[in-house]
Amino acid sequence: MKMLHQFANPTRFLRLSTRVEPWALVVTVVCFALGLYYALFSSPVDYQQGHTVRIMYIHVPAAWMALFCYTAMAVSAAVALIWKHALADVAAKSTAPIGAVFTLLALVTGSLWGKPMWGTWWVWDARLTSMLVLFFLYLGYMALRDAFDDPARGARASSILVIVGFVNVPIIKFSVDWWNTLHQPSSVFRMGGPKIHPDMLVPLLLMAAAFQFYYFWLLLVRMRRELMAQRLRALRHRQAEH
Amino acid sequence: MTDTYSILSMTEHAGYVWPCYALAAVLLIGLVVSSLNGLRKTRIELEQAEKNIVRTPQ
Repeated sequence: MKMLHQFANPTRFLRLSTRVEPWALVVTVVCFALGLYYALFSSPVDYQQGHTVRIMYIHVPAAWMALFCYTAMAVSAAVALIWKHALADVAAKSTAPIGAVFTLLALVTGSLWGKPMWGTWWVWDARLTSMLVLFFLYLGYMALRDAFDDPARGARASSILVIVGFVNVPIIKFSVDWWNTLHQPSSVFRMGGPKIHPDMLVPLLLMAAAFQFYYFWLLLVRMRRELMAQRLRALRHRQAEH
Repeated sequence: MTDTYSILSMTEHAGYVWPCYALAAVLLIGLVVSSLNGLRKTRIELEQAEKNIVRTPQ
């Protein structure tokens, strides 16, 4: 708990993030370079899906990050509401657009993969539908956040929304087990370990690492900007009073 | 190692695979550009506001 409050101090956070950001960026670029090379040039064609299996290296990491970002937002929102942790709220706000982009990417690449493999762009399947709901939750969070004149009230209302909406994350995760879905069950994170051949698992994990570090780096950039914007609002407010 | 022609053509699936990679590039790079732009703008405005505060007589 003490560590949690250590990072409530923006100054300490800014000092740390300035040091960490360059390294996060370097790791992101290296992982993308390796991941794309393996994904496009050094991984086998699937005996059934042919080259469309290469869509997996974008679609699956994007879907993982869509869920990861929403979970990070829900935890941050809870910390912000319970402990009035200013930086947790900044983290939730900074994460939302990134999570929305990952969700959109997962939905569209899934559709592009579904047409040649399932013969349709879209089907109201439990997995696809709950992912679409997740996308609307992201948009709803961002819209609700900016719907109030008072930023604090917007933050509070949107925090409650994101926490309530978290019920959708396990629904997405287990939809392929609970319902009879066209979407295949989990192939990596499952009891008994991955069912994917290492030649395909390596590019998949490299791209997943690239997406993860991309999120971490961009989160730091966006949080820095949000802290500056908060200081700017405070200065303008003080100027208006004089 | 898959040969270059087979990569580019994706054996008749190019129309599905390449748009996925293109969309990923557009969305992820676009988000970086907009975030860095926002950071630069906010920094300029903040520096301006801090100058105004210094100049205002207390």
